[in-house]
Amino acid sequence: MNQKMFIIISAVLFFVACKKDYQAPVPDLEWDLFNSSAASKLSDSIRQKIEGVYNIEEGQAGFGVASALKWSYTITGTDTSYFLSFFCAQDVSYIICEGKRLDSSILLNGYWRKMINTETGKVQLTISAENGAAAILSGRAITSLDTIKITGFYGFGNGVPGFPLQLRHVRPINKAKPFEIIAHRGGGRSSDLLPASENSAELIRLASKFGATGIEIDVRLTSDGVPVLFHDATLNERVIQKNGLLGPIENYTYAQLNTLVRLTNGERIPTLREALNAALFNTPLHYVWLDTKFKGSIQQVRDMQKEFLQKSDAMGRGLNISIGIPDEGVRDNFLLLKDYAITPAVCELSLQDVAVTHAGIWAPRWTLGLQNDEVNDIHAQGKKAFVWTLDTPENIEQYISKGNFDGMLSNYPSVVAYYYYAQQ
Amino acid sequence: MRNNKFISRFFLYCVLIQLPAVAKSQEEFTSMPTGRGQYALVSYVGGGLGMYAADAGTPQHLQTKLDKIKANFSMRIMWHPDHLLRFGLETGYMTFYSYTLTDSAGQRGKAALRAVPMLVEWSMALTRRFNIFAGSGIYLLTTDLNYITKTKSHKVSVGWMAAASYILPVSKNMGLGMELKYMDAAETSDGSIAFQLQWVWKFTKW
Amino acid sequence: MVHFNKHFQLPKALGVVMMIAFFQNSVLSQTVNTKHKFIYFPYPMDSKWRSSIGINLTTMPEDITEEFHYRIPAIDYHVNRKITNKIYLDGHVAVQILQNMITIGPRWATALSDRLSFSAGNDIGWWFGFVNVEGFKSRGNGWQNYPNASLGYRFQKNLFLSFKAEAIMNLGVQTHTGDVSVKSDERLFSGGSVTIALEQPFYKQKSLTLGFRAIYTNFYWQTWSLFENFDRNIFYPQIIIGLIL
Repeated sequence: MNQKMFIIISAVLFFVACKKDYQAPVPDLEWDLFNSSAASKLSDSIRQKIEGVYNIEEGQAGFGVASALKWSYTITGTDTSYFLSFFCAQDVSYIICEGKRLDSSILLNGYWRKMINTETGKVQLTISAENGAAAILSGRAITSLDTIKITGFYGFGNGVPGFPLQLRHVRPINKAKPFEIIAHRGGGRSSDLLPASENSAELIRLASKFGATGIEIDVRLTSDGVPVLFHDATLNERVIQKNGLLGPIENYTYAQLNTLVRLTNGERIPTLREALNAALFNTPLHYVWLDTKFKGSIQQVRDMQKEFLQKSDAMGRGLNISIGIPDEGVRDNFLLLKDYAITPAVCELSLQDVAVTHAGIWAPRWTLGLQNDEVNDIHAQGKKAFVWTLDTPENIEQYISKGNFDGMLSNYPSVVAYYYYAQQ
Repeated sequence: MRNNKFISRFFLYCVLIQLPAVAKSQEEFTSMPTGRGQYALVSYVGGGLGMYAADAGTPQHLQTKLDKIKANFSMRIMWHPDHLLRFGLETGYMTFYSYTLTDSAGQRGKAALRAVPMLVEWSMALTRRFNIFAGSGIYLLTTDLNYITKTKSHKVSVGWMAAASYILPVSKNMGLGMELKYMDAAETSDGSIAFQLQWVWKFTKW
Repeated sequence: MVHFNKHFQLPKALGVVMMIAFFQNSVLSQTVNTKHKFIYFPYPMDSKWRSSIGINLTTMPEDITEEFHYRIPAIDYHVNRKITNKIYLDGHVAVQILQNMITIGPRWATALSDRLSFSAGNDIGWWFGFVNVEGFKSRGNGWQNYPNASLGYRFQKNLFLSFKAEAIMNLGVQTHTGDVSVKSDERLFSGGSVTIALEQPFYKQKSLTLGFRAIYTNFYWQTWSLFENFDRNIFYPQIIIGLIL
């Protein structure tokens, strides 16, 4: 072996050690039976009967021992599409299906994904007449004597599903104590490789499928004062497609961003108005947390909050929107609002700051612990407490079972949904 | 045009052939250690052309015209102790790339990505004239955008560089260097391969 | 990845000159100094102790620290203790105050030829950290195991080049946040790393280690306080600079 060889080996090793690009594309969901003209949509009453907590009898290696099933929807124009989500704890996995009726059976067609890695694949499931479809489709109420069993197969990638999956209904989902499941950055982070980019209107429309009942979105101002959604302080390749533009987003006008910048999955940076329109008109979400990431007056955001709260009231929609107070600077600007005392807000600072700002929600970081005494104090004042941002399943389980919080912010709303809905 | 190319190449050959002959007539500049306990500071000042070597990532939905070949300039000071390994600092000025754009309404614009590297470097003399360099540090990046309005925006990126140079001795303390270098701003995935001519000067010894 | 404009070509004469310079062998006539100083180079130990002090700088990947590629420094202390002719103990401490890592393990080293040598070993490591500021009341610790092998090449002039490959085994992560304790099950074979280190005299009698370690793992101990769950191997580049004592 000689000097030249070592130089070459060094160079090879150096270039071998490079960053790998991960992807988790949603598989092609083609299923002839599901797409046949004989298959018809499910009604509201049928859908509700399928919801519940199920034991996983086959497929535990992939999805764990139990799953919580819940419907959500997306409205596009005059069309409403319904999705059944299966929330599982193992590997932060979930399944998202659409449902149809075919004769006396119910078909569920969709895909599964593990959030901790990039594994994904197709799912094709059936509730046959003898496994509960007859009872579900009959129109009568489901009793404890009825057995609902969902059977079928799952696969990997675009491969034909061939691994058995079987679930048996055991009890209704837990809805005893209201709990807000808040998806971080509109549904998750760009690094979570979701079908849409973080803080995009497209991801907001998907958030409820992932188990969210609310979203947290990050608001910044462009150089010409347009409120837009963007988490990072600067334009960077983590969130946008590379285009030679970098530095603080506040340096650019809205027209420049709108024309030149695309988020990682190709979306435009949405304005706050577009995001709230998506949340209000296209989703069943009932909470929006506006994380204020800019300095200066927040009057414009307050005005938009009022406008959309009024629209929500007019629709009977019940959408709550809070202005987030993450630091002292935003707190001071919040206190400059003429009507701050009646402005719905979520305050991340101390209990004293919650009192000063009249915020209806206190939101401490989870790394301070359960803080049950402090949370009880907040409850005694008629306020709520949300905790942020938990992603480790073991910690999420502990905070839901042992904590007194009213809501949780997570990049993995599906696992929060599992531990919440599967509680006994 | 072809004649001009031939003439410039011929001239370059002549310069390269003659330089060693000139240097032989005096004590030569050498990259190797000159003796135990002998230290020196050496400056490298140079300029040349760089070719953007990464995926430039211009907006795909617009008509763009990309310019990847840009001038660059660098300045380096190395401490030469009495062994092979050297340590120093480098800075400079370069443009990674620029592009012009036209949107669907016909509005035109231009964007350029510039950088000032600030690197801590190590180098080794492999022979009397051949050196390799590797460095790590930061790149002060600037976007110059002219679209609808003018915007200048800055970012600091971690980055690195690697280079190989051949130094032709001119005198005992000076040399003419030819350097091939790769400059990389890691956070923004920007890299450029540059070729530079450098003036190398051992300006102090002790 | 590199696309050369077909109208722009390096002059061929310069290209030939560069090739000759790059592949030229060293012609220095300096004899090898018997007082070799190295810490990474896999070779049976002559003296009882060897040590070095320096820093390592790990660049955090975008998946973990998102917007900024923080380059986190750690004080790096490395020590070898001779046990027998071919066996020595390798101890390593990386200190960041708020979080630290200690590894120790045996090495078996042998010379394969006049210039080439080899070692194999296994290190056991323990990391611990605590953060008690600004919204954090967390502490964590964990055990890791690193089976490793190294190949070394000694050049003519006190120049030692070493390649080290190691697997990273995660034996459990324990974290406490406020009043909540959790033991996380991470993947046992958590990834691996490759290190290339160049050791040579620097100035006077001092020798220096310059190294680059390419770490590819789904859990890097320095990121414990971020509580990330990604089960995919992510690249962490690390620069090593050490003064051999």
